[in-house]
Amino acid sequence: MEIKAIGCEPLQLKRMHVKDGHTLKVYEKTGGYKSLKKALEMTQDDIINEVKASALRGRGGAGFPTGMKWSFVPRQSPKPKYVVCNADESEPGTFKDRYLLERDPHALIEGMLIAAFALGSECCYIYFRGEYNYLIDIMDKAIEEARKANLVGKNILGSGFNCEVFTQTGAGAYICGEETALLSSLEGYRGHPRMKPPFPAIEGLYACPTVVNNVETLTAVPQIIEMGGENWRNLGTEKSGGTKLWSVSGHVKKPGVYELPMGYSNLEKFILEDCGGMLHDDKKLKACIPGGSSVYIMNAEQIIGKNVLMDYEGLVAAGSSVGSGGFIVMDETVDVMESTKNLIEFYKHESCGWCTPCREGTDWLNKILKRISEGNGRPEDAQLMLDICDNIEGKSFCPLGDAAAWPVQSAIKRFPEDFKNWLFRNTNGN
Amino acid sequence: MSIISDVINSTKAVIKGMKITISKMPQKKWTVQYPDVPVTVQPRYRGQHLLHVDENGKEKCVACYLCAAACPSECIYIEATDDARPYEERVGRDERYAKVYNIDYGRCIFCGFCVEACPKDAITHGYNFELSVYNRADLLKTKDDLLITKQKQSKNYRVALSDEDVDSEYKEVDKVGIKFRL
Amino acid sequence: MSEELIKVTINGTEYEVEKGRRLIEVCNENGCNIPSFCYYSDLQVQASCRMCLVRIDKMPKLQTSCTINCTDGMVVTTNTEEIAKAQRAMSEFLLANHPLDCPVCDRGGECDLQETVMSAGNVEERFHEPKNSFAEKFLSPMVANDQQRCILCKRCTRVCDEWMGETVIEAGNRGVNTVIGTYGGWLNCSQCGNCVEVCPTGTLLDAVYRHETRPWELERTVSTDVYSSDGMQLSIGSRGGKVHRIVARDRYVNGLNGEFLDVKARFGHEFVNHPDRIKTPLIRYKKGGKAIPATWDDAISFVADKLKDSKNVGVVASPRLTNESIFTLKRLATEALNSDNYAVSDAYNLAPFFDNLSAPLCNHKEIRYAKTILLIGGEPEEEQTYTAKQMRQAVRNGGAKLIIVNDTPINLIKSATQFVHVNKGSYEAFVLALLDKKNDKVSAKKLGVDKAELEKVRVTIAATEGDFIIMFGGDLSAEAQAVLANSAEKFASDKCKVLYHPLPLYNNSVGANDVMQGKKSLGEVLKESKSFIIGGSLQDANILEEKDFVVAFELFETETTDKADVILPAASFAEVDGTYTNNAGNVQRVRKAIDFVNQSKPDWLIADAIAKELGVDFGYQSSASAVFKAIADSVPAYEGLRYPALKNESKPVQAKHTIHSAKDLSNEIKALTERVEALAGETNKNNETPRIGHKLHRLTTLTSRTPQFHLLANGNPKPENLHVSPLKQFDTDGKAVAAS
Repeated sequence: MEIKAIGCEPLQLKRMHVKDGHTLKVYEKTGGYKSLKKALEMTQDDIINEVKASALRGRGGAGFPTGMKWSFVPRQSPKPKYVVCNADESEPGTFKDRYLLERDPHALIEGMLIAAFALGSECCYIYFRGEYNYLIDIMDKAIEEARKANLVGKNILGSGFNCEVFTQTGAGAYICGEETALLSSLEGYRGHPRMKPPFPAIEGLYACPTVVNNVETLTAVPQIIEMGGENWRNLGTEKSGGTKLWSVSGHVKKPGVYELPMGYSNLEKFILEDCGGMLHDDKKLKACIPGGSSVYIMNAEQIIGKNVLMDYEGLVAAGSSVGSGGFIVMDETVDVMESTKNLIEFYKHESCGWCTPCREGTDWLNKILKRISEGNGRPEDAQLMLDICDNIEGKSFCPLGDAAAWPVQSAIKRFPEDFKNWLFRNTNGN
Repeated sequence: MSIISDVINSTKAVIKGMKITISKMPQKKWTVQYPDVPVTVQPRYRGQHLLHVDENGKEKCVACYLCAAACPSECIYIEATDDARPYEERVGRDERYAKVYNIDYGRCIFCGFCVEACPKDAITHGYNFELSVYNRADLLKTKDDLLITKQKQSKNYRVALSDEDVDSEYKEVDKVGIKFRL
Repeated sequence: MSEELIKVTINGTEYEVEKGRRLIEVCNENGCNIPSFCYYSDLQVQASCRMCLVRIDKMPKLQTSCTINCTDGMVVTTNTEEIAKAQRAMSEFLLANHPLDCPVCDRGGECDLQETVMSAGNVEERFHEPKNSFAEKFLSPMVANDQQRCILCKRCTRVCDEWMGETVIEAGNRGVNTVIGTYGGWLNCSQCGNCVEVCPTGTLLDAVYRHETRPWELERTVSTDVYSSDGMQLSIGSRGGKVHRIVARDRYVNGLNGEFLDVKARFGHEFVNHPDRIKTPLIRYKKGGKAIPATWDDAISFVADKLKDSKNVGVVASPRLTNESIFTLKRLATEALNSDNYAVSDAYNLAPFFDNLSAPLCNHKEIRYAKTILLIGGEPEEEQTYTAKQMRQAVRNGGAKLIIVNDTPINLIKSATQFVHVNKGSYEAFVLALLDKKNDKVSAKKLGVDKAELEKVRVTIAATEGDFIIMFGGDLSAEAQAVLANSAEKFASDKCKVLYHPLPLYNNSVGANDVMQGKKSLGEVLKESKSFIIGGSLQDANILEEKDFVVAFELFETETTDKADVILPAASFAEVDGTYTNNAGNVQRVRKAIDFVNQSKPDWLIADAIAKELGVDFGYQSSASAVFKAIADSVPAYEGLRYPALKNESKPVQAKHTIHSAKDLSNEIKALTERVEALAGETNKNNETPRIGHKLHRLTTLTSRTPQFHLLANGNPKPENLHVSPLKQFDTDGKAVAAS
């Protein structure tokens, strides 16, 4: 398991290898809570402007500029405001937040406190994925430590700013990673997405203004305050600033969490050199999913010799996207039909059932792929699946429908050979 | 005009007529000696309806009323009901079945729309064609008259084999020039 | 909703619409039909079926028109190939796991899904995989459920929550395995059946009407509910002289109650064709003897003979009868029998209320948009269910303040903003306190509440900006009713309009009070007369035993008919033409749906026949509209009304009850004060919330004819086998019977 920064100083991963990095003592020794003190002396607008200047984009998958999101919150509203941390990291292939939560919980608390201060909120929630139950203890201990040090609670560090941080687990539903579904679940309802608009920034938790941010986004906030937005942005590119964590898994020699500056050049080098190359030297790279299961799968031709930049724009230009940074590498031994079937089974299981296209579409795709994998494929299935994906895409209630459609679409289009084998098997009689 | 010409003309006419009669004598005869001999009906003949049962003797009809809805002369009357007993005990194949199923043959025009409408293949046309009765009320046939297990089949018909050329009769007639086919 | 008009372009045509209206409604009104399953105008928006996708300029992706409010300059396209493809795709998805068992589905023929899919045409089935399937089962004696037909529009769960406030139907599981179900697998609720009503497919089905016939075979007759005083409009589905079902949705207009009905209105119709109906006129020649069937002519002349010479004949009309029947019975008494002994057999006399009415009655729409509602006594969620629904929505959607004054914590207090829990029988003390602040001290003591609570009620009322509605149940004395009805001036202001809403028990209590002018109280009439003509039955028939001669018009054998000398078979509401007047003063039509069952006749026709035999002709010529014309001519509140004027159900006609100005009611107030002071004042409150449906599920002469009500009345036990009708698993006492 490799946890390291490449091409930059470790920022997010600063305390990953520090002993007892999760304790307040060590955290403060390594520069922790300095930013909070600094932030408490700044005005709310200054903080938001710093975050805007940093070009920090949401690390949960959609990549929405964080500063912009914060500026949507009506701070003058008499309603209470909430800051919610989305620690429901359930995208297949993504595990970066888990390390941050486990080894650097105070960074998250600090980030949340700064966000809460900037938005005039007095209440923060951390919503954990159901399977991350064991991390709650670590986080609760960290919050307790911080409370003792007057970093959480009433009149923080004598500034007159009050803020509470609470932890909450989900029950293990992928859909609760979607921000509105997360809020429903947090309120105690079924984890169903809600209608947008109103966006959570206007009407979120308990119909009050709410900001929902990913763990990595919030842990980046203290660094931005410390370094200054401009400096932080300069680590990355003009449009996507700073560094980004990538969770690498699959057929590479050194899987793990890598911190790369945005716009790292290039994807091919990253897979074949930085991650230690392919797992089996005699097997060639076949496919790569760069941003967690919900993005377009890339084939080798799109990567090898193409100088793909690793940032939001670069990956989109190459035909995929950053997503949540769940990097899955596959070599020749993988049959993309089967990996797609695996994925669709996941989406069918995790579809919440709210809207028609996602609920029925994923089930249909799953049934077709299952039949194909049993050797009963029909030549017309490829076209049918593409049509089903087309019917799901852009018509579902929340992005989960799109997320289920994209991998199938791209798999069929970019790996036609794999599907042909299965679909024509019957008619060829072998 | 004289008596002689009258005689000649009428003799000519008799000869002309008798020519046809005599020429037909050695040919095959089409007249069926009904009811001593059964009538041949075509396989798709539309006679009295039959309500079918499945392999276990359960009525196929689910009382969906589609036959009644399709019927142009509104001669079908159904009352549906619910039979919650297990399959072995109940009347119909499905939980829902027709408690009453009447066809009024005073109105039926044997168009076959009901058969086409049936989603369960429960109703078809049978071959029974002797439907005349002495009392008009008897034209109303109930389920007991229509069920395939209960309907008595007449001995006075025989169904043509599928490769049998029943139509040739009409073709023969066509040759002579008398056209009464539709 | 604002009055401001804005311009919206739909498919190239510009329309002027009110600002903020839902796009889907605007489109549907203007002929661009947009299919939808989950959208329902009276419920929260769901946007889950994705059928109503449209293209709106300047917006990415297709948008669901049910979530979009119209804004100025909006350009909408609904008729492109892109949208047709999306709609086809959604129908295809919905049909993927939907069984195609329309022939056995009770919803076949009136199913939204079926209609939408068939009207779109060009449906080629591409789903060749095995379907997810479940067996059909029962959720209660009234509701059957076929999970596999569900398209998860969740109208039922929203109706249950928003209309009924019961939340007993919810979605379970996740994704494609989501099912609509109940907690514990059995519905323990008021069984209103509104979930069945709004279901767009055959997922939730009427178990009483189960597998009886098909919707297109039914004749639909719009009529009025025969049970509750809300006068809910409904559609009777009949075929061949038999009432098969009662629904609200068949009316295709959004009238008084929309698609709302309650358990009795919807399921309690089996009495109409029940074999126990009295079939012919019966004459009991000897007291205590057997009633012997007779012909109508014999029975009528027998009655006329007996009554010809008797003086002071008592005429009693049931408040369940139509206005026409009650009015004719009154005329029978005054004109043919020369008697002024006539009464309505309603325990609850509304006369003092209407004699002192100082503000108009409110209609049900006004309840929905009221700002403050004061409910004194009564239990609307059990007796006037539609009023209760409007109250719930007023609180939930309109932010209304609901003050409930009751001796029992009724179920409706869940929606209340303030619940004043008072002693039993002390409502009058509350009325007194409401009237004058100086009575607070005495009243608070007798009511058993804190003075501050009364003050809080007063503050809430004073702060009202909008409609203030005073409702009261049946436990108020005549003086209290009079005082309350006359007190509108005390609460009214520039901002606040006062409206009244009585909550009587019977469908035509208000009408009976209107058309039987000059009536005496029931007790008085029963005491004074020796001979009786009774339309309907009495609550307590024992007094009839010592009477000389009793004629009863009834549907079924009751205690009253047991003691009657002549029993004449009356026609039920489904067999007659007439009108009922509901608690909002709306005069509404009852329409003939089926022919008279057996030899029954409408009550007014029987009374007319008796009068004719006695030598008086009312000139009705067997026409109900002539009777109504006679009513309109003699009752001021109904002046000028005719049947054609009552035709349009979406514009209910309100009777013009006289509004009196403030009167000097010092005598009444004095009597009231004395009575309040005489109250014991010791704590005497019901602390138990009654079971939901404790009044709705009660067995009465009429409801007990629907076998399912016996199970409800006996606690709605959950059967062992959910796939078989509970009727087959329990006897009428609710005890399980061994499977045969």
